Amino acid sequence: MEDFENRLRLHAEKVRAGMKPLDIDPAAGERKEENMPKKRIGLVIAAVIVAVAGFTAMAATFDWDTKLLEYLNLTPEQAEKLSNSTDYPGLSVSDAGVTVTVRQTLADSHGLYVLYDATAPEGFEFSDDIEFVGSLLEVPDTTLGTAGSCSWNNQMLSHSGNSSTWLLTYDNTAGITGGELRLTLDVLGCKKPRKPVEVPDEEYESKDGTVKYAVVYNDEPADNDRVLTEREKALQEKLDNDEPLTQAERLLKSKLDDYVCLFDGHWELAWDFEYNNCAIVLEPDLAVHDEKGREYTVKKLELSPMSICLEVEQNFEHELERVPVPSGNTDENGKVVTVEMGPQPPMPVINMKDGTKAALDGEYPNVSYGGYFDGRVGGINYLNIGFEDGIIDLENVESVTYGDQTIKIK
Amino acid sequence: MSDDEFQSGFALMEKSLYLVAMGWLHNSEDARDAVQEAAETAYRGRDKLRDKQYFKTWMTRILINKCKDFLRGRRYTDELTDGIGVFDGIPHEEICLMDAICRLDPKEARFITLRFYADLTYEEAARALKMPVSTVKYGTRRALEKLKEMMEV
Repeated sequence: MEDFENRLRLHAEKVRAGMKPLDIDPAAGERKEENMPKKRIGLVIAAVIVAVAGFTAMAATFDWDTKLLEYLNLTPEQAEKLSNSTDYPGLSVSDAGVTVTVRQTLADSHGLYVLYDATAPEGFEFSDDIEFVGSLLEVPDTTLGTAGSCSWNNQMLSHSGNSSTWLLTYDNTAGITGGELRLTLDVLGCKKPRKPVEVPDEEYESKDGTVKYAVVYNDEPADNDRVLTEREKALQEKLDNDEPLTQAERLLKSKLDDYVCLFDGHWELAWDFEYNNCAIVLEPDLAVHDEKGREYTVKKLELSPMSICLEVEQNFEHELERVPVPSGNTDENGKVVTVEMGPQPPMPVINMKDGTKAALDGEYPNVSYGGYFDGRVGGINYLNIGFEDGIIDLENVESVTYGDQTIKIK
Repeated sequence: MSDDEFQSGFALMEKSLYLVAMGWLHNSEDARDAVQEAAETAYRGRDKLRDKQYFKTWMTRILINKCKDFLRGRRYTDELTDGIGVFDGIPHEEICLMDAICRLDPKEARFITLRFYADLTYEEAARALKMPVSTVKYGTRRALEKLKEMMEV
């Protein structure tokens, strides 16, 4: 590589030496301004502003991937507002005959979208039941389990023949900074067929008076004696040798048993991203009460176009309960992971200037929320919510209601 | 920074800046316009630069922002275009190498152009790109590997 670096240095010297003069004049701008009548400058500036505003509105959506625009249901104006928060990595990697290309990223202070394509060899047909068995997005400074909590979801948006488009949605409580993103995907497969449904002879009458059978669903995969894939073999070898598994490998291992492998590949892409953080951050230090009269203090509220994050201090005693994680993730022994959980803090309501409300009460469509729940008095609850089907227009937010209090957005 | 200091500092890096702009824009006319505009912007703000040792990084940063402005609303083209004959006297093999740099992903090409065309150290490139030094080092290594692979085909 050193030889190649020297070759590039020599190349730069040769090019610089052979280039024609450029006649760049740094002072030209000042001279132009001196010679331009003031009235005309005003007109020119106005014309430029009009032209730039019109052009920017068009430009903002020109590069956007239509699938992401459709998914988020964005207007050109909304897309324009987010134009500094989106990026087009265009990076590709191929393995096992499948090429993965990252098309677009979109970020705010706590939420992130990664849109990518997966193209399989000619003749292969994607279908709705195909998934990446392992998927992991690593975000700067927020490794899973070390900084609050994070969650992500990887879904296929569309497919046609051997091409498919996917969207990974990610949110965290620790906050998203620019830097290097790393997307790791493992094994393209589909869920194993379940054991056949058992239909016993007994019948019963349902509430609406119709006769139904008491169907018993099996959750056991039909095939447990299959041959291990190459990825599984490699993982097993590591385990046999007491070698530590990476985070991506641990996640993959916990899921492999349930899948039929179609492409035994490993796709890893890393790229830099930047975004314009336009979040509204308030630190109201405000005491609020939930419907049971329990008191919390809102320490911090961070409202972004695609996410809202609250830091809420708990002011009352509550015994923690150990409950299964909502994702149903299992540990290395196959047991469902449990967490100690305090009371569920109230959900915020975003009040818009036009009188409409976005009530994020868990029934709001396509809202994901999560956070780190601590039961101690004085413990901070991070409540993070990602709006998965659209954005909040920050300029039109009047206030946020939390518990029995409303926090004005200045 | 005085007028003379600015003019002499700029003259020393004019061509390097132009090549950095080529790495972003791939078009000799656009690159010239971007450098011209960056030079004017920097010249107007020359009094704000207190520490002259950062002139190179500061000037490069302004140019990068200008290139980003130029690219806003356009699709990247990976073809090198020289409509004004700036590179007429350059040997063919060097043009081929420059063309290969332009065919890299723009996010990777910038590491190469800053390191080799603008002669920035990793630390200077990191300041110009507002990125951690480790990211710049990793990105440069990755871009070099890709470029080498392209040149070997």
